[in-house]
Amino acid sequence: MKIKRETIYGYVFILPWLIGFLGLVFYPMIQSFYFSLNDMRITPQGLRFVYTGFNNYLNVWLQDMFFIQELLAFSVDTLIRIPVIVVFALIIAMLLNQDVKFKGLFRTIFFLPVIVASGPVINQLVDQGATAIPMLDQDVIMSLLNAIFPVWFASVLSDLFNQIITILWYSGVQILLFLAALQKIDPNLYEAAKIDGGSSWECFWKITLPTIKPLILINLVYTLVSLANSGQNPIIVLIYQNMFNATRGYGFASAMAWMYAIIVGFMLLMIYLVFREKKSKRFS
Amino acid sequence: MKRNAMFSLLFVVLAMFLLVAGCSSDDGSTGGSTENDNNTGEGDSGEEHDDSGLPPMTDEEITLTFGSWLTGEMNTYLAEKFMEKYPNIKVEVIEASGDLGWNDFLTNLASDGDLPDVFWYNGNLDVAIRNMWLGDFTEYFEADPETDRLLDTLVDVGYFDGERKLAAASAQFPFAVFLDENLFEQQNVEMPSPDWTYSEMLDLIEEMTIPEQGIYGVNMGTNLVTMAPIVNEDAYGEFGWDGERFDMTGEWADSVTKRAEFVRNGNHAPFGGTDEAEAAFGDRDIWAAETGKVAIHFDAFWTIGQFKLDAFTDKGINFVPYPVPRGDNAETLNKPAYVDLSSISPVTEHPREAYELMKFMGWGREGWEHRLEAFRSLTYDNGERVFNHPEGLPLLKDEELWEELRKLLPEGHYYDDYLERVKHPISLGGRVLPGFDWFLDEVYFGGEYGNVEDAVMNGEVNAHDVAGELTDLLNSYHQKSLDELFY
Repeated sequence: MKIKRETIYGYVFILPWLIGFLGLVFYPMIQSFYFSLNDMRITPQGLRFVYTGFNNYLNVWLQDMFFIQELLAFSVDTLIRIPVIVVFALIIAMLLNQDVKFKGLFRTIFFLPVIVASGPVINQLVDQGATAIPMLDQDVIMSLLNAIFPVWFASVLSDLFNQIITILWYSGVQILLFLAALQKIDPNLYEAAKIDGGSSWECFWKITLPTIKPLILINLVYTLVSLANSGQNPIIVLIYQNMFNATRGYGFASAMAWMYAIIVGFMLLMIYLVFREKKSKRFS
Repeated sequence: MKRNAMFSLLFVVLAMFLLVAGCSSDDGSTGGSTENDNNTGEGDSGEEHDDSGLPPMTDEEITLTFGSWLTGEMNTYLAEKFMEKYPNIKVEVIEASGDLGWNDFLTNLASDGDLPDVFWYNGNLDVAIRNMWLGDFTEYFEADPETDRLLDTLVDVGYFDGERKLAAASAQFPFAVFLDENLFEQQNVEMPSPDWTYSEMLDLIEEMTIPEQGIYGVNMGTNLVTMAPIVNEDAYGEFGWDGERFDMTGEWADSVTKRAEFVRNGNHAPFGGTDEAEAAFGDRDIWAAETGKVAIHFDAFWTIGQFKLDAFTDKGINFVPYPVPRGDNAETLNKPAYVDLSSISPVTEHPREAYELMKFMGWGREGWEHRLEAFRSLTYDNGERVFNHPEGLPLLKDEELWEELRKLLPEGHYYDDYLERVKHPISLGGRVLPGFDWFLDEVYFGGEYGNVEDAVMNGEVNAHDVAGELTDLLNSYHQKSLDELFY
């Protein structure tokens, strides 16, 4: 079988990524799985391993009360943040898709935080309170929320207000993806709808939303993954702390990371099942 | 189009080359830590012994690495003095990089096979035990005549299994109880004797709590729960450690209950960052000790210098140091202290010389003479003094060292009295008692009751009801950690 020249070009172009993935992702994944099955010591004579089977996985649930606690907090937090981020991204993308002056500048501004706010920078901003809206009186909001909701939910909402700017800053990539999808929509569709008396509101629900639906799934997945991997995520911090913990170490931390990855994977599967493209029965 | 494709390909190849070059290691080592020789520390331990009882130092040109988290300038200064004494030995001081904790930094060094020949470990002893970082230097320590001059309570520190000397005390910062002399004078309350007792201190805390004037009896930077078992039960460690077992049913339970009472009854100043702090001081983040509203403040030796700064004296605060009071029926003068420990790597090729360096940088007299000189005269490049306050107290009984150190503290009998009474330091738990920090992590601060001290404070748990269970757990964690020593 003759391989097409384009195919070769394709592989060559993704080769740097493939090498990076194999060396910096796949190999550490295998390594961390091996660590997770062992009790690992970092001795001056070298690394020592004692095979413990799946004990570390069991201990993650039985010994670390913070893991379950943080996992629940993360789940609730994510459930609230993802829709906020995706809806915000969609609104901004639609605004940027209008024929306005300095469109390019606005696009740059919205994407800039993705580049600027890398881990350490965003941590500094959060620490210095730059990610909250100063004019919002946190105490008033908190007491209001406490009066309406149970404490666990109120604190999540209050956290949302407290970090609203960070959350919105997480929207750069999603805006870009939505924008690409919006630009692919044939303007004739809108024109035809308008002739038939469709309002802008109806156009949005009948044309825009169905067309960009696949992108919504992609954005939901992207947002969940970026929140799950964020350096500000307390579970990531917990895994790091366990890594250097005297009695737990790399084996335990690796098991925790794998458990976390499985749970995030399960959440991704849920999102996929709910938002996947379903074949219309009419045409099947 | 073809040309464009060629350019793109060239670009991809160049990017790959840069990536590979950027990620390559420059140290030329091939096997990292796994390729280190397993030297058990017997290499240079010759059979000849000099007059001191220790084997002679080598004449060969060797290099030793040293790592501790103390002031970099001091480490460098002492290393230079050591090299002046032993010109054939080169000392490389290793400083922590990035924002890693010291033990995390050591872990990274160990994983690269670069654990220093001599190193201090910070806080949690279990990290060092579990990863087998502690070298056995019993032979040198016991043959060393200087060992006899160590403060009595520091000699046995580091014999974790009761037989092998695996770590040595290398710095000590005793607890200090600061009394605001001006506030006492204002209230016409007599300052206590430096030989005050534990119950006198508790009474004073209550007497000096004057809610109508917004004065709080105490602010605990260090913890009553740490002090009480050591001074009242003649314990040799936190939580009622008697040298063999812990017992939390006595002074621990009483003191944690007392502390909770102090907090609930308003004897204790509000904790920072709370609404209570905001209401009391008008600033939720202010340190209670600098408000002028705290009569007694628990802290440690290192705060003596800070309380002499203008930020305190300008506000009319005059905190003077007292030793932790002695127990009402105590037979010893044991007092809690932050004791830092050092060890030598079990794979060092020069254990004899490493021991000498460890002593010089830690408790040894010669090193301390240079250290005192550094406290007096060491300056930065801009001429500013490195030390405005000595970094720690001597670990030897040698009176000359204590007298010289005394000259570096402020004038006044309080400082004489304090120094006279802090010569029986007892280290905090996690540094010298295997399994202690492990217990703290999994039970005391993160177990069934959450934070036990908070649970007692909030009235969710009665300390006396859970003390027996906690004692059993703590002893089992200690035993489990000891078992790791023989892993």
